[in-house]
Order: sequence, then C-alpha cells, then structure tokens
Amino acid sequence: MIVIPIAKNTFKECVRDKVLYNLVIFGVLIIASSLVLSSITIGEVKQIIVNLGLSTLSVFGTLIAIFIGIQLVFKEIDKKTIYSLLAKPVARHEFILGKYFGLTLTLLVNILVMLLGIYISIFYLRHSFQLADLQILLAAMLILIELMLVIAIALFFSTFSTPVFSALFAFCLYVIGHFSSDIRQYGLSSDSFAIKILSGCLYYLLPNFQNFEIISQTAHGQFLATRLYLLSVLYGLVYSAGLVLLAILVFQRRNFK
Amino acid sequence: MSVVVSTENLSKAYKAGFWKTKTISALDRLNLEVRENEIFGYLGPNGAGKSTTLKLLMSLIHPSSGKAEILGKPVADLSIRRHIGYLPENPYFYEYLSAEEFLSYYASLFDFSLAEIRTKVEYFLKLTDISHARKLQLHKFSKGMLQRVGIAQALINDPKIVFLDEPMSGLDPIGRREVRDLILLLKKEGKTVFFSTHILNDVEVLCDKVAVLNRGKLIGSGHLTDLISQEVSHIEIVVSNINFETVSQAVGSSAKISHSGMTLRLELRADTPLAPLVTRIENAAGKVLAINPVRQTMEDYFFKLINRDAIPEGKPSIVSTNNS
Amino acid sequence: MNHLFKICLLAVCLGIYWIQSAIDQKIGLFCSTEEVLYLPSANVIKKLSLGHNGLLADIYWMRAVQYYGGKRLKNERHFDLLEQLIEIATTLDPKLLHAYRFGSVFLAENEPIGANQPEEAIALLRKGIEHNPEEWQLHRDVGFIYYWFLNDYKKAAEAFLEGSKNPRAAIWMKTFAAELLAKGGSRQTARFLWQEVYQTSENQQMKDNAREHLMRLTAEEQIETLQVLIEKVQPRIGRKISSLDELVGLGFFKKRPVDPKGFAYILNSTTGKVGLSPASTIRRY
Repeated sequence: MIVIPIAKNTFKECVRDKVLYNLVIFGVLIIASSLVLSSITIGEVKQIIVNLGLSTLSVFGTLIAIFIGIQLVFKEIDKKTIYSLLAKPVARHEFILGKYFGLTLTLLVNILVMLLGIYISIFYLRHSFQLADLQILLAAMLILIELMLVIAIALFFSTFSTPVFSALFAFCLYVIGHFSSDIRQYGLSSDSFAIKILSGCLYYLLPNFQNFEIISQTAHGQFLATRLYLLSVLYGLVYSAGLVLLAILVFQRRNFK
Repeated sequence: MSVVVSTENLSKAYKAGFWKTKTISALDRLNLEVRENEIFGYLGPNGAGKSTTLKLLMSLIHPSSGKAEILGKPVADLSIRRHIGYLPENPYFYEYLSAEEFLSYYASLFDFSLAEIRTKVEYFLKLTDISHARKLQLHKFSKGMLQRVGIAQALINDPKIVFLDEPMSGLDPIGRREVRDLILLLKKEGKTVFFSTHILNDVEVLCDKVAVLNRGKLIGSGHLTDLISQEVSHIEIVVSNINFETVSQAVGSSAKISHSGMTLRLELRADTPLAPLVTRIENAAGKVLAINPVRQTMEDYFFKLINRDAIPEGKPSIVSTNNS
Repeated sequence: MNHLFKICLLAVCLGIYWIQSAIDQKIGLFCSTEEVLYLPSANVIKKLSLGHNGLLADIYWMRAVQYYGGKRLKNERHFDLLEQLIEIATTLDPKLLHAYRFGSVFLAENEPIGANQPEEAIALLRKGIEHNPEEWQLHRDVGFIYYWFLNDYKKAAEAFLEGSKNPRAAIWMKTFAAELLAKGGSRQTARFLWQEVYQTSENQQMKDNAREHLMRLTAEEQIETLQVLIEKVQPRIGRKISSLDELVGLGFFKKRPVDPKGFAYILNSTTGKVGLSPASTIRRY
C-alpha cells in the first residue's frame, strides 16, 4: 500500500512542525494545571480534571486538525513537492488518503500523550484507578473520531482553496455543527413549509458536532449508552469518508500548473 | 528501436481571467516521438511550453485534447510510473527531511524491500555526490545540491526513461559538466533521456535528436546530424602578408573580406572553387594560413526557426545562449 | 471510476441520514428522562463566552423558546429544562427583559400550557428586578403571578404597590393594589387585570393569551348565569331540566347558548351542572 509511506511522511511532517509542539506543550500544561485547580475547589476533584482534560484535548485537537489540515494539500502544491511525488507510482486518491491518515495518526498520538497526562493527574490525586476511569479513554476516542471529521473538512477545503479561506470555512462549519439542533428546532417549530424543508436539509447535510458532545457526561462518571456511542462513532466515520471521497473527486480533476 | 514516448495532437489550453472566459493556449497540437536509448533534447525559449509538455507526460495536468503515450500506454496509466523518472524544473522537496530520509521515502513508493531501499539510497547518494550531507535537512541545501537530490530521486527506481526539466539551470560550470556526464552515462546504461533546456550548447554536445518549441508549437525536429552538421554554410579563409586591394582583386566581388589583426578573413560561398583562388593569392605573395568549411551551429538553426516563427507585432522571445 | 465515486457519495449521504435519525431517536429517549443533567451551569458558560455573552444569551433564549415551543407542539407536559435555559440566558445577559417577562409566563402557566412552576417564575422576576430596578413592569408581572397562579392576593397587592413607586408606572397599579386588598381574587379584579394586559401588550402572543383568559372569564360568568337561571326555572316548571335546548323551548333564548368561541354549553343531566362543551377550545383549568 502506497498510502502507508505517504501517511508516515505526513506524520513526520506534522511532528517536525513547530506549531504542533507549541500546541501539545500548551495542552499538557493546561491538563497539569487542573491539579492546582482541584486543590482550590470543593467536591469531586476527578470531575475537574476530566472536564478540563477532555476539553483541552478537544480544543487543541481541533486547532491542530484545522491549522495543519488546511495545509496538507496546499503546502505540497505551493512548495511544488507534489510534482515529483505524483510522478511516482502514486495515484491521486492514494495521496489524499495518505495525507488524511497521516494527520489522523498525528492526532491519535497527540491524544494519547494528553490522555496519559489526564491519567497521571488522576492517579496522583487518588493513588488508584477505578473501572469508571475507562470511560475517559472511550470519550477520548470519540473525540478522535470528531477530530477525524474536522480533518476531513479541512482537507476537503484545502484541495481547492487557499489556507485562509479553508480555515475560515472549516471553522465556520465546526461552529455551526455545534448548533445543529437549533437549526432543526427552528424548522420544527416554523409554520413555513419552505423553512421546514430547508432546515431539515441543512440539519442532515451539515456535520453534526453535537453527536460528539460527551465531555460533561464523562465528567459526571456516566458511561454513554453503547448503541449511542457506536452510532456516534459510525456517524463520524461515514461523514468523514464522504468528505474524503469528495476531496479525492476534486483533487483528481486538478491541474498542477 | 521502438518508440517509447509519443504524443498525438497533444494540446493544453487554460482558462484565464476572473470569469474564466479567456483561453490561453499553452501547448498546441504537439506531435512527438522519442525512441529507445535516445537523448532527446527539448528546446525552446522560456515559456514556450516545455514544462507544460513534461507535466502532461507526467499526468500532473490533464490535456485539453490529444493524447500522449509512454511505453505504449496512456500517460494516465499508473503502471508506467514504475519505469520513468522525473526531475521537475527548479525542484523543491520536503524541507523537513534529510537527503537520506527523502530518498528512502521516495524509494518506499516502489515495491522495494527495506534492504533494497537502503542499498539504492546509498548508491544514489554516492552517485550524485551528496553522501557527506545525508543527514542535513533539505532546507539547508544549496540550489546545486538540491538539483543533485532531484536527479537522485528521479533515478531511484532505475527507470527506463528519465525526464529532466531544465536539469542544468542554476548550476555552476562544474555542476553542468557533471550533469552532462550523468546523462551520457544514462545513455550508456541503455536508458532514454528526455530533457528540456534553453541552453543550446548542451543540446549540441549531448543530443541525438531535438525538437524545438516556440509559443506552444513544435517548429522543428529531427536528428541533430540531419539538422545542422551536414550543411556547410560558407568557407572561411585566413590569409596574411597581403593587402586588402590585392586580395579583393584576386577573389573578386563574391567574397566578404574583413581585417582581423595582422590577417585578413575571407568569407566565401560554400560552392566556390578553392584551388584557383589559392593559386592567385600565392602568386601575389600572400600566405594562406587556414581554410575552414563553416557548418551551421545549433544556435544558427535555432534562431532561424525562432525568427521565422516570430509574429510581426510581437518581439521575438529573448533566448539566452548561456547559463541563465 | 467516477461512477463508483458518485454511488459511494450517494451511499454516504443516505448513511448519514440514517445514522443521524437513529441518534436523534436515541437521544430523544435520553432527553425526556435525563436531559437536565448535562447542562453546564450558567456561570461557567458566561466565563467561557469570552465576552460574547450577549450573543450567547440570545442563543440560549432562542433555545428556551424553541424548547418550550417544541414541547408545546408535541403536547408534552414536562418542561424540565425550561427553567435552566432561561436561567442561563438571563445570567449571560441580565438585561434580557423579554426573557424575564415571557419566561415567567412560560414557567408560571399551568400544564400543559406552561411548566406550572409559579414559584420559579417569581424567583426569575425577582432576579430581573434586582438587575433592572427601573423596569416597573416586572413588579406588575410578579403581582400577576401571585394573583393568578398562587392566589396570594396580599403578596400580589404588595407587588403592585412596589411597582407603583416608580414614577413611570401605570396609575392603576396603586388603586388596584388597594382594591385587591379589599376584595381579593374576585372575577372583577381578574377581568380588570387581563383587560389591562390585553390593552397594553405590544406583543401579539401576550395579547392572544390575555384574550384567551378574558374569554374564559366570560365563559365562567355565562355558566354561572345559566346555572342560576336553571335553578330558578326548575321549581317554577315543576321538573328537572335535562337539556339546555329546553330553555330555548321555554323562550329564554332564541337558540342554544354558546360560549365566546361559539361552542354550545351543555347541561349534565345527572349532576344538573352547566359546563363547556367537550369540543370547546376555551381554556380550562
């Protein structure tokens, strides 16, 4: 599989990017600071670590996904590295897939590093682990799926747009995606048939990031219903697959002048 | 020898302008044939469409019409990429990789085993003389060194055909000499080399066959020997010990005569009978120092084509005959 | 190849639709039992809004309205999230007057029209008064809720009196407070209050709501009148009246008496009580 060396190289590219280091270090610092915060609060200390930890994971992951994701394809074209690469036996869809999985791999590692930070913090405070701590891992994996969707969005835009516009589009979609239910509610309670149809279409068409909002649940120590968890994972994967497919479709038509 | 690269009415037009209404033709109905084990020089001024042709052959851009084949298969066919190497113009590579990592990465895109990759990388680092900088990240490389890395990556899969886009540009005289030697070495190994350039001297020294492109159109092509070497354009005779008037009397009005230091240079038409002329000069106590049949050079041929092609209202493109 | 891509894309679209529907179904179940748990506190949201709390307040208020509207549409009787949503909106923007005024109505109204939480509605209004002391209408709304939903006429009178201290307040508030202390929850005071709302409201929904209440008051009055009439007529004709049509036959009415929405009143022949037709759309409590 040609995808693997390309993904590996993309991973290398990301890892050697200073942006990533800054974000990861900052993220780990924030997670560490939850130890301080827990000492000045009353109540469940684990909750604060989990809330802060998972939120950091999600926010910084999103930043990395967007800011590196929009560069993935653009940089190769801009720096003309793509000319020599595509003259090798690399199909264009393999290139896109390699780039996609490369950044996914980067984010996986990044999440694992931060997750380690969270578990160390918990162990430091409680000197033990409980079965319920396992759900932090599950939540983190769902965040990874969410980030895969963000990468797919950024990658899709980066196949035909400049980084600034891609970032803008990706960020807007991310924000709108967190208000999906409002769009739907609006449609449901509207009297106009046209608005009902429009909001229905938008609701199903736009990426629904609310499906991944589970951080506070995890902090309260609740396991997500298995079926709901799996459905959310499936949603993220299918939606990402669709976007990557679109990205390939656009990319295959491109000329590299 | 079989045809390894061929194009048939290959054209590329771009849409330009804000509303994509203007059409700019980058390449117009190109027909080419490159045979096995040839060194094929693809010549033309800057902006003639040389890089466009190479990118079309690499399937980096899609043709507007016409078709192109490499090794008998359409260029879009992925399988031919195993047998070709490509050096883009002014190559840029992954800055964050070292030379060694970069070559390993590109080698891993072919079906080589890890051990094979290692030996290949080793071999090409040595061949292109960058072994000493193997651990250096590419952003610290000079232009000449990048060009070597570029050549190394183009050869990494032991290709049957090598496409080099302006391989000599930006290189110092030593570097250019090395690239020339390398191209000749590739021919000796039985490979076909397709290289584009605007440096005429390189073509004259290296190529078996040339094609000349201007404004996206092929304006001349053929074997180098057919194009330039056969024709003797004029005869040059250098004489001394004789004054201008005597010579002009002796040779008549058909010759152009010019002073050249202590000597006189005579330019005669190629079909002038020489023996009576020499006798007459010697009879007038003159000394014949040299008789040179002058052949047409690549430069003459090239300019003849370009000037003929130049449309009246536009200035002919500037052609540099030297390293730019 | 391209066709394959297009088919895949179509499959993805259908897949997304199917999965999202499945999730919504699942979450729908979740929400009706436990939705309250997952709302972060209003103050946390305020901190996290990074200065955009005005916008967020509007969004949360919109959510509250949508939530309320959605529940109404589905005829659900539980408004578990409503109070928190309004609380978040008003914490994010304490000057969000319409959130206090409409929110308190949503909260105070009896089920199924509202959440039947008049105490919470008053707490909300008190919070509004604290942040907006110059808004006399908030006092009036407190008075309303005490009057209508808690039937605490003393407290209601106090609220009206408090509001009337504002020089811009409507003049009736002071006199009405006095009347309320004297007469309590009579129909007269009630009619006055709703009339007041009906005439002063700029918002159509508020107006409609007041009109509904006025119609109900009228219906109540008419029912009482009919009841009195029947009780007076029965001994005179020496038998029980079993249907209101008989009153038409006896010449009291030209046709069967109808409520303000046009539905005929009915007489329960076993209990002898007059009431609204089951089909009538007059609000009843």
